[in-house]
Amino acid sequence: MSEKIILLINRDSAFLAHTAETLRLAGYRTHTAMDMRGALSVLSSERTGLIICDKTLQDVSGYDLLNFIKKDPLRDCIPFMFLVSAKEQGHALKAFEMGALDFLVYPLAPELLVERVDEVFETTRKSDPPVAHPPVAEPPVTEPPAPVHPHDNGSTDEATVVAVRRVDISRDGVIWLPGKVGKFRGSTLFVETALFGKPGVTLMMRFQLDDGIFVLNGHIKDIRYDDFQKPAWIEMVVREDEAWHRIHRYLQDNTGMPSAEPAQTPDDTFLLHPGALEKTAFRTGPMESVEVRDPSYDQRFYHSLIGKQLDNYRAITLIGSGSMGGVMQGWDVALEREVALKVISYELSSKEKFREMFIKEARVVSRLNHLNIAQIYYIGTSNDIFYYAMEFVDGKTLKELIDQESRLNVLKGLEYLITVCEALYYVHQNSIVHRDIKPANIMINTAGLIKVVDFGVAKTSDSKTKGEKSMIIGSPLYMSPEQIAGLTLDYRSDIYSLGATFYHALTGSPPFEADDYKDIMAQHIARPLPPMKEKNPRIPTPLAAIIEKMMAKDPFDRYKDCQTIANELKSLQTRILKRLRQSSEEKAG
Amino acid sequence: MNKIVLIDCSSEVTSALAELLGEQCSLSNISSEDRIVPEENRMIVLEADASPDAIYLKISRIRAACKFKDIPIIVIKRREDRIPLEHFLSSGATEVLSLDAPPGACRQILRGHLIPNRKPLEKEMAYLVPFIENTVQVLKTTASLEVAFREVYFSNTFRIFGDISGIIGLSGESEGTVAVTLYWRLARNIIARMMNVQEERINAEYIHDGVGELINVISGSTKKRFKGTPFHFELSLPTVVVGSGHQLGHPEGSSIAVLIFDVDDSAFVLQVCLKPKKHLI
Repeated sequence: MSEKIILLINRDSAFLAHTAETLRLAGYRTHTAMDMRGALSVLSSERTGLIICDKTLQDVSGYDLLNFIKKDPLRDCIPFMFLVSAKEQGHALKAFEMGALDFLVYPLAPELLVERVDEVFETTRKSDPPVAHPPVAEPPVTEPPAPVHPHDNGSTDEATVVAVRRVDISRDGVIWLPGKVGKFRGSTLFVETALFGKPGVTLMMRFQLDDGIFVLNGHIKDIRYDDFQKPAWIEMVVREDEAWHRIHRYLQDNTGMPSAEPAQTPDDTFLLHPGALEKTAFRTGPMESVEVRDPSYDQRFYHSLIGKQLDNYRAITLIGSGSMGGVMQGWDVALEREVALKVISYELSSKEKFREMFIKEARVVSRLNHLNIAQIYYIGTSNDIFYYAMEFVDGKTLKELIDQESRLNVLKGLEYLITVCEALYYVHQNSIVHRDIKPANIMINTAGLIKVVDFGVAKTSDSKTKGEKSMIIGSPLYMSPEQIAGLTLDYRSDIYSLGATFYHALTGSPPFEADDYKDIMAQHIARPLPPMKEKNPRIPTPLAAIIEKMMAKDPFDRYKDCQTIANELKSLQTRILKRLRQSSEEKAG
Repeated sequence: MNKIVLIDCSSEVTSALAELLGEQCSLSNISSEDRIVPEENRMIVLEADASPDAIYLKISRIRAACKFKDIPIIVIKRREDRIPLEHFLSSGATEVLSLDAPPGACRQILRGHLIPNRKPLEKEMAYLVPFIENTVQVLKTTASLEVAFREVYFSNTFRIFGDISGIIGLSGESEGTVAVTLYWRLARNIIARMMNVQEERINAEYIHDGVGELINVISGSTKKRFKGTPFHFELSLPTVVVGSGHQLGHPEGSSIAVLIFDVDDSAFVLQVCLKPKKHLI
């Protein structure tokens, strides 16, 4: 856009005169029109650099004119700004959809008008008319183009090359597409993306850094696509706000490249060799395997099943995965009900010993019938893929609740703990040990009902074969000392893990923390439990005492069963509620 | 018996696959010079050789010949091969495995891909049928094209293979994404018809606006059918993307229906990912 000529279109002659004068003083030439006919007459005779048009003209609506301009191949590249009143800003969306570059809300301060017009000319200065390359195959663009306009803004700075950083790019904040930042200069970023934009189009760019997610706002200044079928390089000018300052620092430091694969977190379930702890850092490979397993193979395996059917179960979508297997939302075509399908990881399912043990235990667990336990419906193999179907719980896990709320309200936590204790008492009465009680395995459905889920590693307490080494299974943050030591487990191990779970839920942090899982496990074995009240003084002393007793290092120092815990908690709950009632009555009185 | 065609594969890859897949599959090894009819096979396997560019081209061609039918294309890399997976996947491959990958993992992944696609549930058809009918209608009225719905499958990947896509986000009672994906030749044809412009005059601006408009009209007309139902949604701005293998960010935990439509000897797809906020799907 080499000419700074603006076409102003509005029914109000006073508005036209006033606005034209403001722009003239800012160094722009203006033409005015009050209707579409007049506007087209100007466009046919003047090389116009910008159209500013009201919503309603004398003869047609501004949309009609916009529509006409955008269908005219000779003029469709002229930037079009829409004028709307403050109360009609919603109309701007329609104008955007029709191809308007921007909108102005009036009444408009003269300096703001000039600033916005300057921005348009600055943005589109180099792209008039846009070069439309024919869609012929060209070698793909593999490098960011050299600074496209090295003298923009009077700057002679070269763009700084950064280690390629993956980002998400969106026009509307709803659909995010991948992109790669290759260079930056000032507040301009050079990004490779498949998003097919136009100069002037506003964009959002999302960076995920260690300290949070930062979203930059900006617009496309220039776009290069040598081959339509390959991603384009776009030059995006970003708004210099707080987010930009953080990203700018990041780009300058050029640190914190994202890791290729997410690391396993200490609340994932682990399977370990007994004795492996002393010899090596923790490995995720179960049993005799000593090679480090690539978790991406599991993910790829689970994804290969989406959209498929295993016996009577259709796999709808992947809900999540851990080291034991992947969980999918499924549909039982025979009984027409939702199910959760757990597909066992390729490595475990290929071990005959594990399969035998698993089937045997699952049979026992499937007999459990309790309101607060997600039931196992079926266990089977299809195309040699080992899976089981269980009750689908639509809701949130306790882990998600903790993540959201930092820590649970004491009364709510107390209620949840009582329910889980009663459910686990029932489980233990049936000679079953869950072995993986943790916040991620306690769900609260949409009706508020608690469900203990994932009995995938549960074990009958009398099933251990003599002389057989037991596997170490569990999640380091919540594992009992005897579990870490690889000893035979009974229901008291679940009591410890439940205590650790609610320690976390009520204080907002797990009982023991460290960067290394090995250190966390060592603390479970040897370090005294940090008092809960130090982390959350609002926890009633008796409740802290109950949880601390649940987490006694020696299983014999813990409660004798979960029902005893539930009874003590209920009694505490009654006392707290009574005190609250009295207190509110006193206030009311 | 699953028919698997191996294209230009070495004896090492052939025997490795025979061992992994057992007797339930019939493997045939052909040359890329031979005529390949993708739809006659349950899976297509290629071996990554010394010339990655040639393999990318082969994959792209086979993927285009599949006309959006969900036929897994598996690339087997040699042991020492360190070529990143992304290039193969972007060209149209479904999965890339290496000869030095754990055999157990490869076996399960291949078997997973060999399982036939599931049929849509009745409740899924409740929201897919309006999209199917409107797509046919929109192409008929705006581009005077006779379009025939062929099939639907549920995708296990977020990738789209095709030359150009128009994508629109959905929000409101339901949330999700709808995307139309076309190959270049058909896109130019449809846009020329829609905009009443000769195909030779179609440039980048027309394509951007045309594909954006196409997805906008399909989604907009379908939206009306859902008024008063849990599937009702509002539309965001259309986004147009180019290049094969781009990924779409669908809402977590939602299934992606891929609707295939035939237009003469060509085809295009509409990906629909719609998830009511109230728990129905």
